[in-house]
Amino acid sequence: MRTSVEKRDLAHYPFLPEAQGLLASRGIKVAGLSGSKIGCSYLDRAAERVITALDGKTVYPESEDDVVSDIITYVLARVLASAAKDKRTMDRLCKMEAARVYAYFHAEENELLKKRVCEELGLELGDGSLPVIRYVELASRVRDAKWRLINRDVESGFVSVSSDEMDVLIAERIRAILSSGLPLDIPESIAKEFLPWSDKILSAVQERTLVEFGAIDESAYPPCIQALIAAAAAGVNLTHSGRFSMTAFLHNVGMNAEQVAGIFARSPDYNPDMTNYQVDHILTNEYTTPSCATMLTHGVCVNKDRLCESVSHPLNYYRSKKKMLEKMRIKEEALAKKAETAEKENPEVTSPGP
Amino acid sequence: MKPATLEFLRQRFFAYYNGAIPGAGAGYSPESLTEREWGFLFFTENQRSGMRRHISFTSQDELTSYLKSMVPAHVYYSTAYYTHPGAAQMADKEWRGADVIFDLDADHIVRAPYDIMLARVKEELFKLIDMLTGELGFAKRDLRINFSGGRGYHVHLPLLSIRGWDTAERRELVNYVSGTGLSFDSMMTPPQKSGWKLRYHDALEDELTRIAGLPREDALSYLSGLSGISETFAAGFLKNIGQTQNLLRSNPEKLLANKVVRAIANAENEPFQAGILSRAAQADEPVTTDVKRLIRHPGSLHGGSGMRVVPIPVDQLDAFDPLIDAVVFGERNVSVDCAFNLSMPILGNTYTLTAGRNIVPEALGVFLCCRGIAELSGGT
Repeated sequence: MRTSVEKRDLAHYPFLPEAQGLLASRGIKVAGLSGSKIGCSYLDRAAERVITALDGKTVYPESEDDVVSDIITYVLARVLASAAKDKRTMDRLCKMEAARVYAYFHAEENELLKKRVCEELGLELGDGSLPVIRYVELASRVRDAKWRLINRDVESGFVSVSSDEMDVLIAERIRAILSSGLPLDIPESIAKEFLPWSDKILSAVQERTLVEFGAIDESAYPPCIQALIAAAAAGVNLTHSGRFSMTAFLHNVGMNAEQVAGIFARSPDYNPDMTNYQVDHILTNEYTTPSCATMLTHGVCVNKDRLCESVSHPLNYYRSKKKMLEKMRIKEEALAKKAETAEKENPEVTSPGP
Repeated sequence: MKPATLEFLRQRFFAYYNGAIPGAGAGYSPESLTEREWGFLFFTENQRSGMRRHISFTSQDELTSYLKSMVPAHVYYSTAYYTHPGAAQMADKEWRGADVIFDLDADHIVRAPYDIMLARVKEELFKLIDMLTGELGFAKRDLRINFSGGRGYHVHLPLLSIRGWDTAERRELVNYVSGTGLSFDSMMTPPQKSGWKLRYHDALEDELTRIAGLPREDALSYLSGLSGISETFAAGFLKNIGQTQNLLRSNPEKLLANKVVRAIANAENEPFQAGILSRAAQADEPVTTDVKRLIRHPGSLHGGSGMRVVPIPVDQLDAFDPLIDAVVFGERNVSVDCAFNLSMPILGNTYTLTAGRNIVPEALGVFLCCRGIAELSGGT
C-alpha cells in the first residue's frame, strides 16, 4: 500500500492545494499565458476540456506524462467557464470533473491520499447513518424519489444510508464543492486576454442549444407558458413566479432578451424600463425554467393536457411536443406531395375542368 | 373602511405601541436585528399604497421608537440576514442566510369559524413539533413558535447550521413534515416502525379496512374507477383483500407488485391522500422554501385582526388560547356597525351580534373592524 502523495496523484485530484502548489513551484501563472506558445496550447486544451463536458462526456482523459498540463487545464477550464458566464457550462464542467474525481477516489488504494482528499472536501466516511442536516445537504440535489428525506428511514435526527448510497452522496458532495467555487471572480484583464477561448466555448454552447431545441416553435409551448403569454399580452399583471417562469422558459428555448421583452410589450400597460430590468436579471443569472412541481406549487401550472401527464418539466414538454409536431409536419408534407403528384398524374380527378 | 374606523384603529394601535395597554410593548427582537430588512403596512384610506420596505434598524431602541411614532398596521422582518438590509434592490442586499420557517395557516387547512380554525391549526402545530424534534432531531429549545396574530402559527428555526440552506434543502424539510412526495416503492419496505413508513402503513391499513367495509358494489365501482384498474382486476382484489391486509402487516414488499394497492396509494387518489394529510403537518410550502421571506414580528399587532403576534414557549403551548392570550385590548365598551349576524368567542365570553349597531368590548370591536366585518358607529 502506497502512503505517500505522488506527483501523478495530483492530476487525479487537481483541486488539492498541493496541486496548485506544483503549478506555483513551476512559476506558472494564469495571467499572461496567452503570450507563450505553450500557454496557448494549455488554453486550447482547457477549452477542449470544457467542450468535452458540454457534450455530456464524463471522462476527460489523463495525459500520459504531463501532470502539469493536467492540472493547469483543470484550472483554466474553470477560469474559461467563469469568463463565459454561462451557468449551464459551469454545471456541466463540474459534473464532469466530479465524475472524474469520484472515479479515481472510488478506486483509490492509497489510504493516506484518500484521507487527504476527504479532509480537503470536508467528507467523513460514515457508518451507515448521517445526521439529518448533513444528509439533506448531500442528498437534496440528487434526483430520484428514493433520496427524498420523506422516503428515508429517519429516526432521532439520523438518516440510514447504505454504503452504496454513501458512494453516490460522496460523488454528489464532490460535485457540490467543485461548483460552489464557480463562477470564479475573473479580473477584467484576464477576461479580455482569454476572450478568444471563452468565445469558442460560447459558440459551442450556442451550437448545442440550436441542436437541442432548433428554431423556436410557439405552437409547441406547454399550456402553462401559453397561458402566461396570453395573460401578458392581455395586460394582466403576472405574478412574480409567472413572470419568472415565462421569461426563463423563453430564454431557455433560445430567445434573447429583446425577444422576451417583446412579449411583455404586447401588454397595454407595458413599462420598458421595468421589463428590461427584470428580464435582464433573469437572463444574466441564467435561471432555468422551474420544474412542473415548482410551477404547481406557485399556481402557475394551468390547463394541463395529456402530454403534461408524461413530463415533469416544461422544457421536456416543449421538446416532446416539438418532435411530435415535426413528425406530423413531415407526414403532412408527404401527404401533400403525394396529392400533388396524384394531381399531376390525373389532373381531371382533382381539378375537374368546366 | 371608513375614516373614523381607521382613526379608531390607529389610536388603539398607538396606545399599544406606546405602552398604554398593560402587557404591551415591542420587547421582542429577532436574532441579529441589524441584519434584517423590515417592512410595514399602515392604516390608510388609500388601499393601493403598498408596503414600506427595505428599512433597516441599527438597534432595538430605533425599532421601538419607529413603532411608537409610525404606528404601523402590520410589521414584518426578513427571515433572511443581509449585509445591507436597507438596500433598495434585493440584489444589493447581499444575502447571508435565512432562518428556516414553517407556516401553518388555516387558509390551507380548513374553512370553519375562527375559533374552530385556530384549534385545528394548533393540532397541526403539535404534529409539526413532534416531527421536527422527534424524527428530524431538532432541539425544542431551537424552535421559536409564534402565534401569527391571524389564522395560524409560525415556527422559526434560527439555526446557524442551516441558515445558508438554499431552496432545495429547505424543500426537503417542508415536504417531510407535510407528507409531500411519498414514494410507494420506498414506503413498502421494512422496517415500517417509525416516521413516515409507520404513518404510511397506518394510512394504507385504514384505507384497506375502509374498502373492505364498503358494500361490494361501492367497493367495485371505487376500485375500477382508479386509473389503470379494470373491473375484473378490482373483483379479484376485493376477493383477496383480507390476504392483502395480512401481507401489509407481515410482508409489505410483496405488495410492491400489486397494481391495485399501488393505485390506491397514488398521491392523487383522494381517500388515501386524506389519510396521509391527516397524519402530516400541513405547512405552507412556498413560505419554507422562500429564502427572502418577510415574516410577522413577534410582539407586534396584526392589522387584520388586532391581535398580537405572540411568541410562545413550547411547554406553554398546551395552555395557549389565542382568543384570550393574543387579545391585547380590554372590556371598555365601543359601538360598532356589523355587516352581518355573527357569533364570536373572545376573552372567555361568546358574543352573539346582529347586523347593525352593537355595543361590544373594545377587544371585539378592534377585531371586527380590523377584519373589515364592522365599522365604528360613533358614540359609546
